[in-house]
Amino acid sequence: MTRLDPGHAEHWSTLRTALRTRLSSTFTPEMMAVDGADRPVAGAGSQLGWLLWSGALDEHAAEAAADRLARPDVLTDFGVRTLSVDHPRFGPALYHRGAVWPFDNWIAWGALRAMRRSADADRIRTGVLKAVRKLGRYPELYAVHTSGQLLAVPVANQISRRLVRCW
Amino acid sequence: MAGVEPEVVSAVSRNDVQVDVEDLLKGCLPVSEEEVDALAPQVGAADGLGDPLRDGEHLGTCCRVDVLEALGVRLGEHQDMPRIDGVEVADRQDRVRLGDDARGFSLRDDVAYQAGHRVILDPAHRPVARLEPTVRVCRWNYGTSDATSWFLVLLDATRDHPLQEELSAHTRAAAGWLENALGRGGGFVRCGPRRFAGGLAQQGWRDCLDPTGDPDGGGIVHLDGSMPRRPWPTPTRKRSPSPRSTR
Repeated sequence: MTRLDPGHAEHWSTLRTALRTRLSSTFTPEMMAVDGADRPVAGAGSQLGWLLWSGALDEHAAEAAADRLARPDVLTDFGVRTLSVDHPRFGPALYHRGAVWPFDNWIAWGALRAMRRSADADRIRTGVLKAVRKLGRYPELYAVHTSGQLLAVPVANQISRRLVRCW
Repeated sequence: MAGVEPEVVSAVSRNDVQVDVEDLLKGCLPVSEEEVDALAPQVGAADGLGDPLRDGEHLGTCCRVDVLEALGVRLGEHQDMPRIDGVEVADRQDRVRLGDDARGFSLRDDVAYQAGHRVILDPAHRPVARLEPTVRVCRWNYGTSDATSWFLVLLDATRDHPLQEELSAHTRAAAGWLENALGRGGGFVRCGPRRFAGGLAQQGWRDCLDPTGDPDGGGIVHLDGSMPRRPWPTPTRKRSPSPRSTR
């Protein structure tokens, strides 16, 4: 906003600082979300890439988030999982609890590149490209088993009657 | 695991269209590094490489003016309307229904910039009308926890200064909505159905409701498997528990 509305740059800069401070103190690398009662929802995963990409964290929090994102329970040979394998509700093919989404990975890739973490960024890029080539298509999501094996999964909205509530 | 062929664990559905992956990769993946950089607010600035948001043309294919205008109309208070022969045209759809002179225009190709103004071009690329800002109050002015932010991010990333000026009212409305939402949310923009019972509880990408008893569901849950409490943030609406959110 400081660029889009330079006449009020100071105002937007102050708001950005306040928001960054709030997010940096609230969202630890092990947190997925804050629920409606302000209760933390635990879980490291690809959301870290979004936080980093958006520049929402201060420098210290960003470095911690980037470190966490690159750990092997989240970053696989085929890309970043939506949720760590260490989470008790993890499943490699579950929609937002373990599956790997290509588009989601490009956010993390861009974030790590912006932080000059080239090696980790390249692991994401090459991992997703490798998965897409192996699968023979560009899917909405795919799974990486805890053994490291790449698994194709059905499109979640279509196959399981239990998943029709996923919009 | 390198070298392991993927296993198809079950049938695949709508998006399972076999394509030439290499061809797909050429056109769609993962845009270009420059385009990603252009969208990343902080890249490049740290080491003196310049500000990619301001340098060069990066977003021609991934961030269309039409999309931003459509978002802006929904988000803002004013809408810029084209005038042809001094007559204001109601909307873009009407513009392409004007008649023979307008036929053949595509929404992608019929607009250009001349002397700082956006103009409509005829099929021979001659300017036939100039888009002039007019003050029209849009009765709808709302935001969402994701689309409103994206509108601002994408508009900034275009580095299309005439377009940014043209949509400045929308920009202020969008930013104002976000600022107010932050205030109402105690420092967070909170998503929730608010006044519409059928609305999404989670308005971002991870918009998956996941009842606790659904082992195949994929939504966000607490460590114990319970469902996070949904946001019912509005002070104007009585909080009424949902059968699926009472755990």
